[in-house]
Amino acid sequence: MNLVSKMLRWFVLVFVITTISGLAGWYFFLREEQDTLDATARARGAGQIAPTFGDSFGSTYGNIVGTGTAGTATSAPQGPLPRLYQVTRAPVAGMTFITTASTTKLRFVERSTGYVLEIDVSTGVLTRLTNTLNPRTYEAMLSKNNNVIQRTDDGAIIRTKAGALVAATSSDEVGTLATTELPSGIGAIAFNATGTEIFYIAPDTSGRAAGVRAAWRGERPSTLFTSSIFGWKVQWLDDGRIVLAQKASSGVAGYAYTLGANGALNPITSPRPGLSVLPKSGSNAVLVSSAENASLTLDVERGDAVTTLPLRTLAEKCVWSRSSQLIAFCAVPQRPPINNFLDLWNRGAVHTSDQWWRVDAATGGTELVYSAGDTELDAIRPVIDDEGKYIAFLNYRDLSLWLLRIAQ
Amino acid sequence: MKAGGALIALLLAVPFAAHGQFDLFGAADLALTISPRAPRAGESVTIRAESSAINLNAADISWSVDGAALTSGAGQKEIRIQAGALGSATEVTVDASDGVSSATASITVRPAEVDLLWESDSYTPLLFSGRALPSAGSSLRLEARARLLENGALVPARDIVYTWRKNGSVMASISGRGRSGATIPAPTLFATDVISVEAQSISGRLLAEESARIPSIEPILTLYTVHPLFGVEYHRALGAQSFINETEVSLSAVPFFAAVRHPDESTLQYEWSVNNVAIESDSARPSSITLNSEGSSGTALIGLTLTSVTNLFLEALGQWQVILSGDREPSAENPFGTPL
Repeated sequence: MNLVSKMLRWFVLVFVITTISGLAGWYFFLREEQDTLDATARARGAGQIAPTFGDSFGSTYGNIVGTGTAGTATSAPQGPLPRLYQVTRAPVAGMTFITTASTTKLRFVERSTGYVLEIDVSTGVLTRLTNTLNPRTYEAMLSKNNNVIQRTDDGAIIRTKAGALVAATSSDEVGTLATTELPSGIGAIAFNATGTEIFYIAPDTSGRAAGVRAAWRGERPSTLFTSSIFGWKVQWLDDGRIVLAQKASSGVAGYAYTLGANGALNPITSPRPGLSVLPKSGSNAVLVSSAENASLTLDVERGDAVTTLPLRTLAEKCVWSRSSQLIAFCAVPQRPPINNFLDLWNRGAVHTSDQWWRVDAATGGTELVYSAGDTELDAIRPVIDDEGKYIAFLNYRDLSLWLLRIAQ
Repeated sequence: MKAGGALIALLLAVPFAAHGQFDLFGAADLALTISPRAPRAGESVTIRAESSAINLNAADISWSVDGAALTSGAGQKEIRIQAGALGSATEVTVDASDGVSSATASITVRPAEVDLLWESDSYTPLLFSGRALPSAGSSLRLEARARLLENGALVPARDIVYTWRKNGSVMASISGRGRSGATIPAPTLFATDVISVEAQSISGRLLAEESARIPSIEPILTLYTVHPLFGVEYHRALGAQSFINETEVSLSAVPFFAAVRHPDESTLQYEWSVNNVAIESDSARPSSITLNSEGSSGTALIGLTLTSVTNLFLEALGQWQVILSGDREPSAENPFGTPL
């Protein structure tokens, strides 16, 4: 009996110790997981306090860094940024990467104020570069030589300003944007690779659309071609080619051209419904998408060779790697598009939830790069840094700015 | 020419209304037809022999391309070739003989191309990234971009004669030499027009054509919030049912593809209703209204009818259910009051 009682006591003791150890282990495991989830949630903007638009630093600045002095953030995410990082919650008008020998920064223009800000992509430290107010900047382009184009829409006409960043004279101050008004009614505009010139479409004196090349502040304008058509999208590639594509509509044939030196429009691909194109600089490769009804197709064209990719997305959701390799990254809707998708999407009436895919245009191979899970991202205007490590894009759902680290 | 009923081949330079220009050499009773009439560069071309004097079904027919024999056989009335590059000339010759009479004909295929671009001047927001589509009362802007390569150089637009057609009928007022662009009325309500253009070099040697089927659509009323800081949120149209985390919101109706230059044009009449009660909008900005749900349930059934005093064909309807947050304050999770 004593033996049985002794064994029973030992058994109970072992059971209690094992249970307590297990519960303790489970507790610490859960706490660690929760810390990871909290860090990811904080990175994506969850739990932040409501924005204070009335402060002296502007909405994004205030929203992200909380308290701080002008120009320099005093708080930043702890540790390295998560792979997918929401840079701003407020709408952004445009962005580009600025790479120096030691750092890569994402520079962007806030839609509400026109302020220029930049974030260090490795540390998350945010800096506001200008305090020149340009409310309701609907669209912005930034060049790598510190020039900025800002576009506002007062409902009747588009106003376009070209500005240069003027650095602050002391660390307590914020820089300014010295702007010049460009001709009104510019329908589309793009910087050249160095930011020293612009190309834009604007009405001429005869009421036709003119394609004008000018110095970045609009000096020395030279009309390269004229057209009855006003609805063009413009890309100025790093290799110097100017690419014009008609604005697209589902099921309606569109044309895309490169602009020749003599003003001739040379087809870049054959006409097709809902056409959009993304040529690669320094290459004959071009991503071509077409949209008709509920159908989306994406091709890679290299001269006469055409490869249809197994991805159903739009070319404007893609970005070419800046390396010489024919690598592109595309945001691809997870669900099949609905009927008349392109027109509804253009009007903001439908949105997609995208995954990021890598495309090897040389082989036609594709590979999933990143899936955002429950985070619904309708990626537009993607840009990639010089080293091919980061992609920045706007979420078309709210125009918030996101940063994706390509490698895991 | 061959003896015994040989026919005299005539040199015909026929300005076909087709993409590609070709010359036709042939006897009066042996002719060649080409399909498509005007091939583009690299396009597959079918050439067919026809004769009223020779029984081609029984005749020995031989074909050659640029002097090289291609094929031959009894009753082989048709061949298919691939058009060359822009600026090229491919001469196709056919010999036909039925034992009684014989004839020779040839044709030169010169591919040429013309692009037919179009858009409407109908209303879209200024930075809208889509095509402006035609609706009744709006206009169509047309442009032909021809690539006619002659003697190694592109024929300039001023040396090209453009012939525009609508539903097959020539539009003489906009056709002519150098007339590469035109503006015409959009198709009428619910109609579809087939617009085509022929571009022919003044030498008559090159010719291209293209056509487009262009339907007229009804304007589309779309409702957007007007954020005090961000402006009109064109990226986020309100759906049939939307929740907005604000007690007060300004909404702007955008009449996509209406035949107007501005949504607040005086010729437009906006008839707004909220919960089936007609309401007045700001006379300066009739396309916008402001809702305030303070002290109420916050649910608003918004109705809108858009008409024009000058364009009887313009009528667009829209209905949206908008749920405002009532007296609640914006939350930390949704500080911008975004529709959920």
